[in-house]
Amino acid sequence: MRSLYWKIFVFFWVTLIITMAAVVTLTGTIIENRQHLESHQIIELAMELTDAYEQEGRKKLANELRKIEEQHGIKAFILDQYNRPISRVNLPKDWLKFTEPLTPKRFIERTNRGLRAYQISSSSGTRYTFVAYVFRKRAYQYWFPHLPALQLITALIIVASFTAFVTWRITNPINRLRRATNAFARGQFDTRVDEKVICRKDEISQLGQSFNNMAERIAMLLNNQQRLFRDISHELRTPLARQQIALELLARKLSKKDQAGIERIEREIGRMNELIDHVLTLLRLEQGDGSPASSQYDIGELISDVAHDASFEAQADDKIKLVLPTACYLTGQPGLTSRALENIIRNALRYTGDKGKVYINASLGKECLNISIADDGPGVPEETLKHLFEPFYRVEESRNQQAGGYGIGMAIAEQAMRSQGGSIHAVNRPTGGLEVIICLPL
Amino acid sequence: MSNSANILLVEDDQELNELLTEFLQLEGFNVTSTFNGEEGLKQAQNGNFDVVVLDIMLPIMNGLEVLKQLRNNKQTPVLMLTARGDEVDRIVGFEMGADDYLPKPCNPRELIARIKAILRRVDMDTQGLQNEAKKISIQRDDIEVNPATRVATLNSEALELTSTEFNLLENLLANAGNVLSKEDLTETALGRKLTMYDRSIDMHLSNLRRKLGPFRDGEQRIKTVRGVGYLYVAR
Repeated sequence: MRSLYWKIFVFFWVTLIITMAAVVTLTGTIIENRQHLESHQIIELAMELTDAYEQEGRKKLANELRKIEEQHGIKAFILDQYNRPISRVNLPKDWLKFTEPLTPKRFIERTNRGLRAYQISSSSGTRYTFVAYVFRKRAYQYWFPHLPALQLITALIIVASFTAFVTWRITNPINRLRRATNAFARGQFDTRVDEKVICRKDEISQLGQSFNNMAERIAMLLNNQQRLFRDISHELRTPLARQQIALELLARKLSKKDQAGIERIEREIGRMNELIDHVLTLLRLEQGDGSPASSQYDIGELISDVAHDASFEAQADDKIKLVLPTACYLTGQPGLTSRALENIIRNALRYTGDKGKVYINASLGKECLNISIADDGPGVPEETLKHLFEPFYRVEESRNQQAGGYGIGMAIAEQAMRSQGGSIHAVNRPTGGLEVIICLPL
Repeated sequence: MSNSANILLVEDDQELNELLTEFLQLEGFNVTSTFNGEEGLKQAQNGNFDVVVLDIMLPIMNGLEVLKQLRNNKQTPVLMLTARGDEVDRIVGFEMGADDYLPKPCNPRELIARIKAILRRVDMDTQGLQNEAKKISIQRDDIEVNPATRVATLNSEALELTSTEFNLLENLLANAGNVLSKEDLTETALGRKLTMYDRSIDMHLSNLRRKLGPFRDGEQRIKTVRGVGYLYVAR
């Protein structure tokens, strides 16, 4: 019974009934007020006045007349049974006219002036003429002409507020679900739909529950895969470490002419080590654990250090052109940033060719620091740009023959940026060559 | 410096331990090998070793814990073998007073080079101690460094510095106002050449910075000169 179907169904009924009830009550109140309250109230006032006069005299009456003028907005005077004015308060010059018999012409004239005359009897039975001029309009008189508009507004307010509430009740959990799905899609695999959605016990909560089950399952699969990856990498390391030393021991026993072969094996072990390093780094970054606490660092200094090392490694002095901001401090993980830059710059140096250069340009943006690393190489086919950051993605055609694609370095760079809240993307330069752009939050 | 230095090897992998022992012996070191942290700590505290080669991942007691407890009463130089690229281990190791680190699996020749660098430095330090008369203590601002006793004080309070940090501070103070290159600092403080992607000198320096704190007016004592090196601000 708590399904969405019934919720919406009941909601419409309740809204309709409440709206109708409210409009009917409102109309009733206004009309009732208009019909009865005026004369009824005036006559009651008149009775009180005459009683006061009979008991306490003229002065009291004069006071009372002034009082009702102030309180109720009614100017009134009273004529006694012989049509003589009792008090001068509020007495108009033409008071005599009110003693004359009422003709239709006079009635219209009086009504136009807002005047009304009432014949009343006090509690002692004496007859009086009470003439009242209502100069302040009562609230209900004001509202009466606007009755249709009032009804409409009331209905609108009620329907709007109910609808807003029910729409919120439906869209709020859907939005939560959407946010959770987006977060999951972005790679936050620990995202779950929260309790507020699950505890509703309707179709949406069932959907939320399904999402959570799915997320649980996917996260588990991913976890298993990552653990397998990590375990294999770790397990490979130990034999590699032993191999390295065994090889060194062997090298001492062999003659000079065998050293070339030994060196070759050593290089290959080095490559395997590096690859395992990269896989483990990527896994650690993907899992987002084990990263040291944030610290403040000078990005310019970091870039120039990394660039210096990279050009030293590539034995390519003057290949890197740097444009850096002065004293720009970022808060984040310098280790990750330098690793990302290192990988990108290495790639750029590798692909830029013998005559090409690598241009590193760091500039302050509005919310982030942009670092662009551009080379003079052949660039990559447009459609492969977005795959560049996938592990072991190989760009077909020209690139893979040279040095074996981008391996895992770009994937590490992307993860390193992502885990610091930054972003990375690649474009082909109009003049040829690839440009990788990093955006680090300030 | 003699090659017959005593080395304590703490490494849990049986085969790797054997290979390393053989290799180090081949290089002319006297090697004592142990397989777990507890045993390693006991040996290190009781024996008289020139260098301890300490793996981080150890059964019973891990390498960092061994280092921490060892530093309570001994200043034997420690070379840590860390998991490759594990920044956290590296930083923590430095804070606890490791003299150098080497990612594992490592090139054995690199290991030998690092061990020799440490031995060379210790040698220099002891020579420094023997030539007490030559070395006078340096005083600058509120810091006093005494190379003879290897004690540094800040506001007359002793600073807890590792031997590398002490060397760095001594060097920077002696050259206050002049920029010292990373290459030079690595050679004088760590006793070895600066290698590519080698940030250990920066790490030691940032530890030193943290321990010294800024000047009273908040200005950083040790400044980085981009692309060149570091300098102790002369005022």
